[in-house]
Amino acid sequence: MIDRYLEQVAECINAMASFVRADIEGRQQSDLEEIALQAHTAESKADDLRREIQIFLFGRALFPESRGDVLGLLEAVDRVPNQADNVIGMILRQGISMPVEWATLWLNQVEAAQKCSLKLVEAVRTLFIDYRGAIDLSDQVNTLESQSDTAERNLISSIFNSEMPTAEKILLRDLVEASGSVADRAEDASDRVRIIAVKRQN
Amino acid sequence: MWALAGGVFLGWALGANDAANVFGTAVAARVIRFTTAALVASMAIVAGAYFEGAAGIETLAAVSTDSLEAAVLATICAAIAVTAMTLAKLPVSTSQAVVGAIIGTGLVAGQADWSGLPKILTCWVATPIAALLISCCVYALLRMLLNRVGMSILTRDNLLWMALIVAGAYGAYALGANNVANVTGVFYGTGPFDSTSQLALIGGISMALGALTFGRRVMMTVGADLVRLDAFAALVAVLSEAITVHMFAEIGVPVSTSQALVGGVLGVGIMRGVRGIDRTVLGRIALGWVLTPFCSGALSAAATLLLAK
Repeated sequence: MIDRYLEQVAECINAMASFVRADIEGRQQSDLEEIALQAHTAESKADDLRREIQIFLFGRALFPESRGDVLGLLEAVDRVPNQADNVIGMILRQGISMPVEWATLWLNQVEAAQKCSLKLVEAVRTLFIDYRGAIDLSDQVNTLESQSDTAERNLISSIFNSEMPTAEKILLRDLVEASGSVADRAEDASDRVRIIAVKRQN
Repeated sequence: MWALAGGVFLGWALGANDAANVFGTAVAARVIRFTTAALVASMAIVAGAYFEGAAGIETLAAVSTDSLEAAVLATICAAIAVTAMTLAKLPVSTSQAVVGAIIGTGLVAGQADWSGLPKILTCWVATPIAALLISCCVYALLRMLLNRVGMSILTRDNLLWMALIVAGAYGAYALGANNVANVTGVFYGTGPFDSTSQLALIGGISMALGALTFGRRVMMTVGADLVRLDAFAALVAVLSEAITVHMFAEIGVPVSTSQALVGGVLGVGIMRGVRGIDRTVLGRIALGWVLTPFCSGALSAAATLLLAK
């Protein structure tokens, strides 16, 4: 069940990156809406599966302490696809669009957040296979989050150094911060992965 | 048979209290259900008492008098001392209370046999130290084993759950084997009681009844109020306590499971590099260790004097 949950999380994150790529490429609105729907469906399925896992864990399996650890971790992980869905919503519903001159930087940042989040998914999966390996993967999530942070800072500086009206700059900054937040949340969840694994190394 | 009532009562109280040292942490942490713990503990206590309780019974019989009245008095005084120390919230050892009471009665009656005492005192001092050292070794060994084998956190939990049940059963077996002497040991060779297995069985059953009927509250207190351990630490502490207590059962000296557990927990603390161990708690434990045999001895001596008049 956890594997299926993580698959949905990964699908939602990949859909966010595909959506941004498609937006930059200037694809048709219907294509964008289709990808947005994929992301939203994956995010909803992940939510449903998380609830099923909660019920399963309360019914049986695991020590109360471990139950708390796993439930807390899943809640932290769940915030990642939620944020990915929010990013898509900002572009699709609020009509915020990244100008061409920053398209590459923007895509780099989103891909960094995607890599970071997918590494988190790998770390969580490893926790349920061999928890010793999860610590190293959690460290890798931190490194990728730093890369996403750097890309985010560079992009925001570049936006604010331009001649664009301030209101637009603020909207773009919000969008960049929102996609950066995907990586931030992945890092928060990976911190929990590390704690869970380290605690069990006695 | 009525003469055994004091011993049976003491056994009941001992079972209720000391089963908590074996399963308390796991039950309080809701890792194991009380019913499961109590059933496993009571069966293992009876088995331990019946199969390996004889040596301790013979040791206690060696320091006690051969009068049935003195034996009854000693068990009642020990039970009162244990109850008083428990009410004062001081950690108490039934083994120390019983030996103190036997010595007190024997001193007044002029029948005290000191030959077995050095062995008993040495074992009392050695109990927490041995448990601490065993705990460090068990900790290092289990950590190495667990960290060497790759497994998911779910498998690790299942493994620890089974290990806690096995270690708890072993701890209860050791408790029965070691502590049954406290309950019925003083009656050996007095009046109609000349069979160690008969006394071991009666003592074991009374301890098992204590664990079954009154164990829950004490388990919750030990697990939730005194020490809160994670599953791995609880396993190490209980296993080291069990090994220590079983070792002394083989030697034939009843020792305190509480002291063995404290040693086990301290061992885990040392292995985890815990600094600043609460000296107040340690002071109270030390006070309990010293006060228990003296209070119980003084009480039984006074009672013997009073009855002699």
